[in-house]
Amino acid sequence: MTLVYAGLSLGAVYALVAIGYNIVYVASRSFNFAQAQLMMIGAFVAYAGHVTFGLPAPAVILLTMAVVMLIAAVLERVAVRPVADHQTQLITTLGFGTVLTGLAQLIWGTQPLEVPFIGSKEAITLAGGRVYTFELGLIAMAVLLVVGIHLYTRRRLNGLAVVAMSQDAEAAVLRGVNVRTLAFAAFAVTGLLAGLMGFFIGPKTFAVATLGSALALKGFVALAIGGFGSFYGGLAGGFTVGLVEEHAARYLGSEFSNLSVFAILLLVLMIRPTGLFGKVQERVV
Amino acid sequence: MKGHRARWAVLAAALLALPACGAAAEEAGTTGADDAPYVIMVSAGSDAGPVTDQLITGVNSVKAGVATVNESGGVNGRQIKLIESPDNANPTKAVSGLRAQLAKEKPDAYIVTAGTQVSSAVAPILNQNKILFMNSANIDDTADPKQHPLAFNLAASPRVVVEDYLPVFESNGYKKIGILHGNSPYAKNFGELSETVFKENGYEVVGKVEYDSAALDMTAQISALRDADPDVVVFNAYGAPTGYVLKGITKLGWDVPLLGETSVASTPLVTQEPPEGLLGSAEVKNLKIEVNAATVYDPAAEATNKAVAKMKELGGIKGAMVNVLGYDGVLLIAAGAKDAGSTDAAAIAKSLEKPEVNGNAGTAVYAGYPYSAESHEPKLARGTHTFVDPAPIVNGQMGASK
Repeated sequence: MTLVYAGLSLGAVYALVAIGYNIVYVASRSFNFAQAQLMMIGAFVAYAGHVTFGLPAPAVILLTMAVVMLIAAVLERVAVRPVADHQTQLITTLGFGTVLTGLAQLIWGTQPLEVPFIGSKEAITLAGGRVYTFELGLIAMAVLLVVGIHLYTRRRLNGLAVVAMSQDAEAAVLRGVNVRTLAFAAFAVTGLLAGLMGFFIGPKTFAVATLGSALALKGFVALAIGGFGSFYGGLAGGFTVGLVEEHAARYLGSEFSNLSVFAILLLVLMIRPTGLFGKVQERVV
Repeated sequence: MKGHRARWAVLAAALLALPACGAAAEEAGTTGADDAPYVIMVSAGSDAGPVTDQLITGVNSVKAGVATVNESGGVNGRQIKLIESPDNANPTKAVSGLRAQLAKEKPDAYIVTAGTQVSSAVAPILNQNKILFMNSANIDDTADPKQHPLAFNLAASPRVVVEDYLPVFESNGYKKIGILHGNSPYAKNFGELSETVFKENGYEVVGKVEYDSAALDMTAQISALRDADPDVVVFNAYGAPTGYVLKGITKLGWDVPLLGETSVASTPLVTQEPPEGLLGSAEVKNLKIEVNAATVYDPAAEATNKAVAKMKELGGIKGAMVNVLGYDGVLLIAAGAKDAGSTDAAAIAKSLEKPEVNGNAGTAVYAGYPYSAESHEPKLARGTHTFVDPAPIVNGQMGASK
């Protein structure tokens, strides 16, 4: 069970990155390749809130969410809105992510920093396996976030508007949906969530400038396995990547860890090119 | 007409004499006159990813070495001029920078303070251009004077690092050894060498597990090692992987002694107290880290303390003393030149092979660098490194005041 918990908690980290990718993809059909770096900044801000400023945990959470949301808003204005096509946005968001990594190195250095956790620091035995409480928190957070987003996009007017926008932006405009504002809000929300995620992943991964690049690729693989645009798919993809990575490292050796993940990705894409939960859109013209 | 002939004769003689002068200068190995600066080029930068701290500290150590040597008269009377190559430990940029510098002004010596790949990339060019090379990275090519007669490794041989585990095994009665190492070329070499040396000395290596340095969790690797039931775990890690290893072992509740290699000692995470680091926490309860003598403060170690004081003026030392080998590189060049009575690279290299020169250069990290005509790797004696409990490291040293 220890290995399963480790795989699920690691997978939850990837799933959280995939959720961020998905929110932006659903709202604007583009990819925010700076998403993982936003989470990395969240971990550093959490460290600063806890250690540098000595703030209580609720204040640290609010601080990380506010700071990363602000950065995500700047990202939308600087690297997304002025660029017309989605292909170019891949490059501009990637560039913004690189700038964030550089800034993190300048401010906090290149060494890992321990981010304190609000709960118990001890590992516990659960159903025969060993797990840290913050790892359980990560798994729970990823699941709750996906369920929450699913319900929001089904039951709230703004959520429905985002879904409508993702299906047909022109039709959504004709129905009175403010597409530009919603796309901007989607970026801000991903920033808000990235701040929250950074607070929770910091105790597992440490706050370290290389975190962004470590998460970006695996988060994208999780998304591709689960299916672009599907939040449950991103969650399943994240858990799949985490579990495969841990079990391959344990039973085949770490050399086969990444190989196994990409073998699974290829297999899934060969069987279902849209990913496990992806949908094929048919349009009548 | 006679006057014209005389002028032509003088001009022809001068033209004939010029190459001869050049050849003479080349033979002497100097790039300028005796009062011209002695030019040292160093691979430098401010953003080298995980090795940024090593690079910045390494370059500062070279600056400290240059200041020390210049204060005492320079390299055989020539003041040192330091040229920084802003390559950020990137081998491609380092090669471009070196070639550009060669086109402008050939350096007398080159120093690499961080980055094995930079060393491998620049070594052939330096060899071809007969430039003295002091290499803080440990690569086989630059340790072999047959291939690179002007290159010298500054770091301790990995074999010495590994052999210094043996007294700890002996004194604690450890018989079954587990090895955990990363997947960088150095870490892989450490893993393979550890297995060989431990087996040669009669120890049973019950498990050897590799981890991906980019991985965010080590539970799988540590579980595999735990199943092999070793008496002690020997491991190598730098930066975040150090933390993942320690957290993984604590999570599993595995009460096993841990012996961290020198790279672990260079990771501030284990030498800083909470909340920044893990010092004093359950994660480092069973950990001992391998350090060289210079990393433990000794008021009687004059040469080391002089170097540390110099480096404090230049911004301090990040990590352990193993990051300041560049200081010793500059002092060795000066000692070699003094003995040779020349700044010719070949003459300095020859002098550096003499024990009375490489053992009395006033170096800070190791008291001497025992090179020989057969090997340009310092053949440091067993016991050069010791294992200590993790403690705060200030300016590269444990037990030093701020």
